[in-house]
Amino acid sequence: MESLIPLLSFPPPAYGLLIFALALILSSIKPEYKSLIFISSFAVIVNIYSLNIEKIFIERKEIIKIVSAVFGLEVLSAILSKGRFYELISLKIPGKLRSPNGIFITMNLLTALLSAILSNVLVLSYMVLIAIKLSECTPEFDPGDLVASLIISSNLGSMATFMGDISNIIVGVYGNISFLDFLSVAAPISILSTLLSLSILFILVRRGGRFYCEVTEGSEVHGENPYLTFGLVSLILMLTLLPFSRGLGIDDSLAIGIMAVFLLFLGGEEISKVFTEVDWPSLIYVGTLLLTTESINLIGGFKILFEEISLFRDQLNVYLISIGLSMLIDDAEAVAILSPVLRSLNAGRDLWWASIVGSSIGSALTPWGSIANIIVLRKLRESNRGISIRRFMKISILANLPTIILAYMMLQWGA
Amino acid sequence: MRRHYLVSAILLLLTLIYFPLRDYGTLEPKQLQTILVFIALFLMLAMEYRHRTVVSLTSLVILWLLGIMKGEDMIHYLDLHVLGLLFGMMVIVESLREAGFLSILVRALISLGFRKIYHLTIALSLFTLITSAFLYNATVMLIIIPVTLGICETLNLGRAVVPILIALNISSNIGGALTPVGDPPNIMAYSHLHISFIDFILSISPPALLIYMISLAAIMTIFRREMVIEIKDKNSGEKLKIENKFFLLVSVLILASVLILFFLQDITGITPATSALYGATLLMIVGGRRMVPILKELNWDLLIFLGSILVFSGSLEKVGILHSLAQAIFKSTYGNLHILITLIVWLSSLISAFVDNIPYAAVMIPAIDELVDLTGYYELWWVFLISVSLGGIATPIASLPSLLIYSVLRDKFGLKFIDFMKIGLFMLIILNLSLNIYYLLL
Repeated sequence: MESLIPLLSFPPPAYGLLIFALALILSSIKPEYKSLIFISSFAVIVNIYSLNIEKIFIERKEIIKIVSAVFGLEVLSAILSKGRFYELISLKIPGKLRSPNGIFITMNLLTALLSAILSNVLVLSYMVLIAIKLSECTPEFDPGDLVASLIISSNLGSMATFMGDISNIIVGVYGNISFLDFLSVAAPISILSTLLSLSILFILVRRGGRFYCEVTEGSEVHGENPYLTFGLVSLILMLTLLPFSRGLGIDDSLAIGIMAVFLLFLGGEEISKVFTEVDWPSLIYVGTLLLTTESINLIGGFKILFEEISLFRDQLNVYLISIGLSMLIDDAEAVAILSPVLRSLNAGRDLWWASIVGSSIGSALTPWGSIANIIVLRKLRESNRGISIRRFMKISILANLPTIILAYMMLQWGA
Repeated sequence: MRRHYLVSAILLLLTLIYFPLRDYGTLEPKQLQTILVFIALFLMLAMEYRHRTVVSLTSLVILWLLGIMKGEDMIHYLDLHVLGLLFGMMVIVESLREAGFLSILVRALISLGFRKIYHLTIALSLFTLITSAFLYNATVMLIIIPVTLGICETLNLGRAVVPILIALNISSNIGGALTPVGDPPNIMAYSHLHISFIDFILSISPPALLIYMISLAAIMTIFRREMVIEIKDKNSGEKLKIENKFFLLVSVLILASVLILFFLQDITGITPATSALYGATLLMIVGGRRMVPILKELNWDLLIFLGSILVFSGSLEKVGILHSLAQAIFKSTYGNLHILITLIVWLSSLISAFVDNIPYAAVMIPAIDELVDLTGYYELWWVFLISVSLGGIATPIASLPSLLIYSVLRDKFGLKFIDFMKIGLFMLIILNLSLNIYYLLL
């Protein structure tokens, strides 16, 4: 599709870069407007520079693959949400465990595990409910500290698999890294990093006390729940079949999307209606974010990065740049910016791994490092139990500094 | 539940008959596979076997797995112009609704004092016919549907809105045939014909307007009980509260600018899709946080469904089914003008009822050109263009106005795919018969 009359005969790339920077700042301040911000910025850039959207899509088929994978994961999340999976989990923990320390460890490990296979936003949103509940039942327990630790565990856990985070999918598709590669390289780093940070967090934020509340184990979510059963079966099926997709000649990212379509189809009439409950703005956000970065790349906006291209040939530099960028903006945005540069370098796997690990750790360092962090901390604040930026940063930096070193050593060793 | 077993059994049967048809039939394997997947898709849509978009996406995945459509083909046939226009206009119309403009329009129309449903039907249908002749008919429908629903809700007309919406669908499709710019097939044919804008209108208008009047009469007869319902003036006289006058002003100005750009397409070279997207972008920037719920509640499902149907239609074109069909018409009617007219009327409308009319028109236009040269019967162009437009009323997937009307009827009144088809096909038969007789008598 051709665009509008160009506002200028040949506008310099700086305008596009400026719009992109503005979009990144705005989306960090108002994450709930992300889809609107990126769709608008993309439209403005396309119009100013007369870009051909169809051509971008054809030349950068990776965008469709990434959106397909995100769609698949959104479908899975929608089915599980409908089956009240997260609610069930969040009610089970205080029901089964009585010791605050036990709850602390279990919640962090569970958050890391679930974040590795499901949406961080959803996992953390429900975990924050338990944190609030805990503070009601155990006055000695600080929900702010607990939520900070959960955010760290979630970000570190999400590093483990191809489907753990949008940033993993972006890097996985652009860097041609498969689901199995993730399991062999990223998963060990994720597991050890999570355990290390959890040990530090345990020392930092551990509290004594007793659990006073009587919690029913979520009886209202028991009983016949076809969505929950189907969602769990789908999740297991997806995790089982995904390693074989490349053998069948289908990309992992496309396989996730295709499996989601078939699951909706095979699930029956009611399950297929879950399609309408998919979080479309999230998909629009991912799609327009990638289209915007590709457009900026096309107009030469990343030239400034290319001029310093030698900087990106070193794994440590890429690792540190990823951490730095992800501390400032969402990790998906950070890897979307880094991807064109790494692609132009024909970067080896070591550099792609550095960007995945770096962006995951970086996003755990600040309250605005990922959209999940912002949403969860806002939820906590709304319940009048917030955590100050200073306190959050203190906890995250102390817990993550050894992790940064450990992860880099493992990267050197593994990649 | 029986319906589901039946569909499953037919799907199994379609899979099984592939093998003997491949071995003993005349079609290429890829053509055969596409036809079978298409039959399965249509069957599942008609029987509401699964959510419509899930069904269409599954069919596309199957075509992709069978190697019939590649990623590039899908992007090519996705037709970003149509999707861009629909998305842009959806954003503009939803903003107008949010700003309160549609409520103002509804009040203004109610104040005209319609006494019976048929007064309202005729007025709205005429408005749709005229505007669809000059604007892309999806645009017209996106504005007229919420206005019609608003009027009917205010006047408490209940299900009486169903025949009005059906009449609007027919008017929009016929209106699109009235001018060279009303519908994509007309635009394509016009660029081929080398006649003036006025000559085109003068040639196609008499039969099209006659068909329109017959359609109105048919609607009035079929829904005669609803048509005579008295409308009681429910205008309470309460002053309408507009929360943000600036946003209202901006939204109306943007709509007006977009419509002007539509009219000036020939001069500016800016396509309707681009104009609509320009308007939507401006609104998203100006509207700020007001646009977040609009974007969230947008009918994404409809956009994806339409996209997948466009790609599916493209697959029929790609494997050469439409081309083979055009060749078959040419061979089977050569020499006999009456049979040729009848075949063009029925085949064009029936094909347009099941696949997108753009690829069909693209394939048929050279064939019609050749037939006109051979027979010397220039009217064949108008027969073809009106038939293609009429096909658009028959099924929910036949045209964008049909899809939009069906979506509203399904969501608000629980009308099933098959019920829509029953009315659509019935109207198509009546109108096709009229068109056929008109040209046979001419």
